Amino acid sequence: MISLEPNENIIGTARKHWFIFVVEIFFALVVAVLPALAVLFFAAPLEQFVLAPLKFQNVSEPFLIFCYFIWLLIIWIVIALIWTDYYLDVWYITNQRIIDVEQRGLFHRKISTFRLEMIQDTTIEIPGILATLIGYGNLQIQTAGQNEKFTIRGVSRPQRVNEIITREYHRAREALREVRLMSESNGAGK
Amino acid sequence: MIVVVSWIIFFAAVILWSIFSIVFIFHWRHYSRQSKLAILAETIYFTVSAVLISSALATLNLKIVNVVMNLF
Repeated sequence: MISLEPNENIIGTARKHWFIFVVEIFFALVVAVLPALAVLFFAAPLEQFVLAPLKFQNVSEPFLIFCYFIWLLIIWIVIALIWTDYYLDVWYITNQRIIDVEQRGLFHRKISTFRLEMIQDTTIEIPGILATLIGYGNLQIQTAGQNEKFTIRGVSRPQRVNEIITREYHRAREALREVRLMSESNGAGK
Repeated sequence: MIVVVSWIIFFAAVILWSIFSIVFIFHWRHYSRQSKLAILAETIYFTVSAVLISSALATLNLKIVNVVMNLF
């Protein structure tokens, strides 16, 4: 769980486009129906070349259906894994900083934060016709004082995310300038 | 023989599903900031899982399903 600083509010979140999630789910669904299609269309060769060498001939139909349900349960776990990876891989844009939560699988989680006033430049990349039509792309942020670039790939509506970041960046810079002016005027007064 | 193998496969799958479900629930509740979408995903996950597990159980032994259904 991320912890926010005092007076810090989440302005927006950015995560991968739903299309990327749907594509991954589609592959899982194809794998899910493959055994059913194999039994339907290739029953004879399957029995001759796969089941017979394993001495698995004359297997009852309920057992095959049972195995298929177990197979579907495993695919369902994989789909939940894809969802977890998609949903928990997110950027939180707050009024003070950006929190980059990178979820890889179930047990690898990397949280990086950088303050808005540290942003040097942002780059939006729309890779191809599909990304243009559906509205996703890559957003890269270069920060001062660090060699690391922060990138979110396949983010939904990258221009909109960039607009929010830029708006909050200017607000943070303005707030920092005001603090500096106040401290300078206090120093001059002493 | 095949009945014993089926039950072993069934219990192994249920144990695997239980382990993953505990980890999923931990992640979804701990990291999702209690969003409505995460709650919906959790509901769908458990509903579909229940359907798949009960369907597998039904193909193994319909009598057990009847006993379980009579409990409710």
